[in-house]
Amino acid sequence: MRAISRHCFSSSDPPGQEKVQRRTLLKSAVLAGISLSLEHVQDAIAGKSSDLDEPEIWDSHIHLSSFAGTTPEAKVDSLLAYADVMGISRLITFMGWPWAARPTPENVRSQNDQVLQALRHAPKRLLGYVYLNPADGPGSLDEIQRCIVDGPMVGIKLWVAERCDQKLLDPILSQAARLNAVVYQHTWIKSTGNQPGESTPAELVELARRHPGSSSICGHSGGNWELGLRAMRTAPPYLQFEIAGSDPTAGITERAVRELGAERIIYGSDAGGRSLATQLSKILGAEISDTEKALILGGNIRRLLTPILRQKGMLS
Amino acid sequence: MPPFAVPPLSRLIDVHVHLDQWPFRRLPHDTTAALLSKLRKQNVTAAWVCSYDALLHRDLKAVNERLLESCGKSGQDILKPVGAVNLTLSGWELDAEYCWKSGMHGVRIYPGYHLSDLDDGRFSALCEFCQEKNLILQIVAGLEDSRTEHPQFASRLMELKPALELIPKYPRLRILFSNPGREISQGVAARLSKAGHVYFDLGMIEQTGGVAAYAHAVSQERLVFGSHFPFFYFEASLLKLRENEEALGQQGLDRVAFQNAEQLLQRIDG
Repeated sequence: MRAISRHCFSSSDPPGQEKVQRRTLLKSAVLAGISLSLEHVQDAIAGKSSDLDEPEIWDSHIHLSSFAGTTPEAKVDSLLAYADVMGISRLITFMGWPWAARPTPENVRSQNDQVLQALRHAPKRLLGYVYLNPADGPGSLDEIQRCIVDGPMVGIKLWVAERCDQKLLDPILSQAARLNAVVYQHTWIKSTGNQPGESTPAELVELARRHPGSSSICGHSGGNWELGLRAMRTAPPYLQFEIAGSDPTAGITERAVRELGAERIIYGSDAGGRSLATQLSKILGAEISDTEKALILGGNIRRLLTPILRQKGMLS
Repeated sequence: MPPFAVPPLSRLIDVHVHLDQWPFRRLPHDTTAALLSKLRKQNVTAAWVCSYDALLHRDLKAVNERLLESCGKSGQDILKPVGAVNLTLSGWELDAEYCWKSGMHGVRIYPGYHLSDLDDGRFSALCEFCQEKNLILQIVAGLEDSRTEHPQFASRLMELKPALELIPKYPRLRILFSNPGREISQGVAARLSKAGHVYFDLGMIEQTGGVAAYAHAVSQERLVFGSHFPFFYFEASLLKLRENEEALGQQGLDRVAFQNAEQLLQRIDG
C-alpha cells in the first residue's frame, strides 16, 4: 500500500496555460504532496491565490501530550513519523502536559516551556501557540511577551478556563491584533452539557465582534457542528471555522463550505487524541472541489499566519 | 486518478454500512445508488448493510423486508443484508427467524438505541439462536458521540460485563462488535476476544496510531474493516489503515481489509 505521502496524490495535467509558470507550480505542488486542479493553477497564474502557490497540508491543531515518549523531543519524533505517512508538512501545536481546566500560572508556563522545547527540536515542521488562562490577565500578557514577542510562537490558545465573551479577554485580543497573532478558541456545544468555562461559538462571535482587527478561529466547529454553523452565520468574516476534534461525520465540510465559503474553513486534527486519518477524511472525503480542499487543508491557515511569519522572518 | 482522491485498496470487505436515512439529518450518500457508487469506487466487494430505520422503527419485519428487497434489487452483489432484531419488542424471535430463513448471514442489534441489556435472558436466547443457526451476531456498540446527540434523544451505554460471562457458554457463536472504539476500551476488548469467537471493526477507533494499538490488544486476526458509512466519511476508516500501515504490515493490512471478515463468515461446526 502506498503511504499518503508526497507521491500519493496524482497530478492533473492542465492544458493551455503559460508553460513555465505551470510547470513550476505543479512541481512545487507535487513535492508538497498535493496536486493542483486546472482551476487552481489558473487562479494562481492569474494572481488570485498567491498564498496557494505551493499548497501544503498544515495541521492547525496538535497536542503532543498523547504521543509516545516522555520528552517534547521524543513526542515530536513520534508525531512527525505519522505526519510524514499522512503527507502533512507543518503542524501547529499548543499546550503541553499535564492539562488543567483552570491552570495555575506555573502550569501555564510549564506547558508553554514544553511547546517551546518542541519548536526548537523541529523548527521547520512545527509552529506554536501560547497557552493562556485569561483569568490571569497580567500573567497572560507576560506569556504573550515571552512566547510570541520574544519567542517563536505565532498565536494564542484559549481552552476552558473562562467563557470567551468575558471582558477579561479583551486585553488579550487587543494585544494579539497588534502582533498579528492568531487566537484559537476551543468551542463546544455539548448535548451532555459544557464545562463551566467552556465557550460556545456564539460567545466567540460576540468576542470577535468587539475586536475587528483580530484573527480568530472557532475551534472544533462547536463540536455539534450544525449548531456551530448556525452561530457562524452572524460572525464577522475574520472569524474562521476549524473542523478538528470531532467524529468524521459525513457532510460537515460540505455544509461548512456552503454556509461560509471554503476560505473560512481550517483543517486541524486534535491529534494525538484524534487520528490524523479520521480528521483528514473530513476534507479528502468531502464532495467539494480540489481548490476548496487546498484552501481548507493549508491555504487558509497559511494566509492567516503570513503576516506574523513575515514579521518574524519565518516564511520559508 | 483525480487530484486529492484517496487511492483505494485493491479489495475491501466492509462489515458496517447502513442503507436509508439517518434519523437526524440527511447524509451525502444516503441513497442506495449513491452509496453503491462510492463503495464500488473504493473496491468494496461486500458491504454488510442494515437499515437506519432499524434504530427507531418498531415494525422491524417491514424494515428487514425492505432491506432484503433493496439488496436484491439494486445491491449488485455488493450489499449483503444483515437484518435487525430489537430484543425489547415482543415477537423478536420471529424477526430473527426471518433473517435466518431469508439467507442472511447474521443479525444486528443496537442495545444503545433499543435500550436492551446484555444481562437479559432475551440476549442469551438470541445468542443460543445465532449459534444454532450459524448466524453472526453483530452488536453495535454505538453510532454517535453522546456529546452531539439530539437533545431529545440519548442512546445508552452498553454494560459489557454480562457479555464477558455469557460468551464462553456459546463456543460456536461468532460475535462482531461494531464501532467498539469509544465504548469498548482496549482492555475490555482484549478480554472479550479471549472469551470466544469475537471480532471488532475499526469504525470508531480513534487516536493517532489507535488502530494498531487496538489490533495489538485483540490480535490482528480479530480486527475487521468497518467504515460506519454513510454516517462517517468512508475515507476515515480507509485512511486509518494507511496511518497504521507500518505497524500492521502488509499481512496485517490484508487481514483487516478482507481476510478476517472472510474468516468470520466461516461457520464453526461442532
